[in-house]
Amino acid sequence: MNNYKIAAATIALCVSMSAGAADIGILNVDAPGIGFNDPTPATPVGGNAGNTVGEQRLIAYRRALDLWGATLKSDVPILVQGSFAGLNCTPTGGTLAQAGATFIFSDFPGAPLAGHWYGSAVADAISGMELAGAGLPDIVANFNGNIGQPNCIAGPGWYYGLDNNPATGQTDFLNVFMHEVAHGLGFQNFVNEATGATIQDMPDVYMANTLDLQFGELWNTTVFEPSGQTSLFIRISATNTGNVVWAGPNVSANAAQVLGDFQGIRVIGTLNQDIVFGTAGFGAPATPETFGGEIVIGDDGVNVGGDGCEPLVNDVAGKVALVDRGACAFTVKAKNAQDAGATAVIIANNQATGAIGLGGSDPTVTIAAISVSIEDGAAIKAASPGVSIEFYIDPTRLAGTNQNLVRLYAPAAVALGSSISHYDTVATPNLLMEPFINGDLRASSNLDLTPALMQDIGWNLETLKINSCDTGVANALANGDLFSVKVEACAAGATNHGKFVSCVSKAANDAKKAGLISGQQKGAITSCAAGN
Amino acid sequence: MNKSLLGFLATAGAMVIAPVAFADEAEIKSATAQDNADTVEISKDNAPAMSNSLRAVRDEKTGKLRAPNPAELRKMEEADDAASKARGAPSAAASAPVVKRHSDGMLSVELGPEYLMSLEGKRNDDGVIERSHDTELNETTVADDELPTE
Repeated sequence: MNNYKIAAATIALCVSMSAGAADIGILNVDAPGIGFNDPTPATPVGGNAGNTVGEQRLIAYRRALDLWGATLKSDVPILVQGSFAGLNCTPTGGTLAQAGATFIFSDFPGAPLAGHWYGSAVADAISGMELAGAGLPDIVANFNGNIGQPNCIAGPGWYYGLDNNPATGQTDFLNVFMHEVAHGLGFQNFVNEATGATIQDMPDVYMANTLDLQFGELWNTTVFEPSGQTSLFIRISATNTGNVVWAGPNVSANAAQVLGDFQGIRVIGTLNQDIVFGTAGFGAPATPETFGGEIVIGDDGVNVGGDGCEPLVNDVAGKVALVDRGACAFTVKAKNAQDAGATAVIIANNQATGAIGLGGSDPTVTIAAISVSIEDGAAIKAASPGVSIEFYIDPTRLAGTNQNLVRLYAPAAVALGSSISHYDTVATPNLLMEPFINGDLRASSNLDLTPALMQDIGWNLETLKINSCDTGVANALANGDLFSVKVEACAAGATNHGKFVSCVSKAANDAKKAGLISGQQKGAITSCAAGN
Repeated sequence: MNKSLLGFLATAGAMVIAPVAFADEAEIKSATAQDNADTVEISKDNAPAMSNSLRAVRDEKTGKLRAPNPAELRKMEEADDAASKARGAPSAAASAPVVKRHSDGMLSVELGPEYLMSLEGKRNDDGVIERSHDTELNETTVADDELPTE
């Protein structure tokens, strides 16, 4: 506990955001001279004033905790055990971070759902008690302090600036931290999707909000007993791509403030239907500009309608080539189509596993590639020639949703630690809690749909406080913006109190115009800024 | 479009390998309590790894469930073991999570490292680190299957 108290007290002097917010403290478990205590000199960067590597790590870590503390409300301290010591690593790859809840509880005082597990932090916040006991951590969040060294993903390492502005090759610590600790705060289930097994045959609150639209079943409403049916349902649902969604009302209510227009692919001509597709990890992203046109079945001279593993011999120039999966790498097929002049390529699955994600890497592939299911591939072939395909944008629907509910990540093969406990990668713009932490995230000021999910599992949102004046307005707006960051920016840029009030008032007015706050809430914010 | 779960289970032809039942009723052991909490230990028979659950396979010819042959059973166990490793879960031989039953009815479990979300990274040829919770970045059997390349 001493470490936690010392660390919290030290940083409170230089980070004003922590005043009045939920108390999320650090339990620094690093030994002297390493991790958080690394004395290697460092140059202040991106708003991080630390002069040693250890100081910068601690400041960035503390800043991230303060951001979460200003987002979620808890009347009891939330303790995060942190380390920046080494994790498993090789020169080319390794573990960047590990995080999660340390304890789970069910049927605690005030538990909204009986017979459901809750992570320690949210259970503490709901009950107003330190259920695990004072001084025991609620969350573990360890980061690999060796990143960038010759033996651990050699090259640029962590970026400890507080502005989400890393140099090329660096990994933005703040984004990663906000993502990882969100898991510990509750963006996490406790079921093994590969087996369907839960602890004590009991579901958790995350499962209570996980809905399979195809089966019409929430993950917590099946019979949890050793019958085998529950585990089978979860195993199947976990890979039911596109049909597993978050059913909580707050995420659904805020989705329109965060997500862009729906993006889809459909075939027209002799076949008219929407196509479920998988994206590729190589080539150009599929967009209306990069993907579309007449479909031609690729002929590699070996087998018409075949696998495209040899150079294509038929005329696909200016067309979209369709080839089958199998026999060679996806990148080889895409490159053969590209070399033959195709503008894009469709790879039809040769197994009944849906529209899979296409892995692989070849920087010389520049055309867009997608996958379709074996069934859709067969339908296109049967209707060809005369089938065209187009990538379209539907402004009446939201990207990353199904039936207006936000999709969870459910790839065709279970990826433990990734499946379900993230939003789907089809969301646009990218979300903080997608499994791939994208470089365009701005977690220093916006948490998109993550606070809403926290509400759905039982958290209350922290209110915005300005100079100890409680505005009564949730600090996290419906679009994920943290208003406290705007206030901080106003405080940093204003030369006198009047300009500060004017700046905050303008920010509040902008939020009102965007439909994020009401006129009354705008007034409350302005009043607090003025010191009334 | 909605199917009932039972209806689905009756027609899950695409599911070739599936656990259909757990082992016998779990052995519940008493253990030393802390903080006056009653403590029970989940035996490995009903631990989440489920490695000892009864197994069945759907016969591709008849479509009916049957007991797996030794080769199929070995393949299933290998898959489970790989899946557990991918999440960092302990093997079946490792200790199972201990559930404490408190006097007020609350249950608690101290989670092991297998429940930590692990973020992996690898540096691409362009110098950018690709970050993902997907275990495709892990060097495991399961990882290789996560995002196929052909």
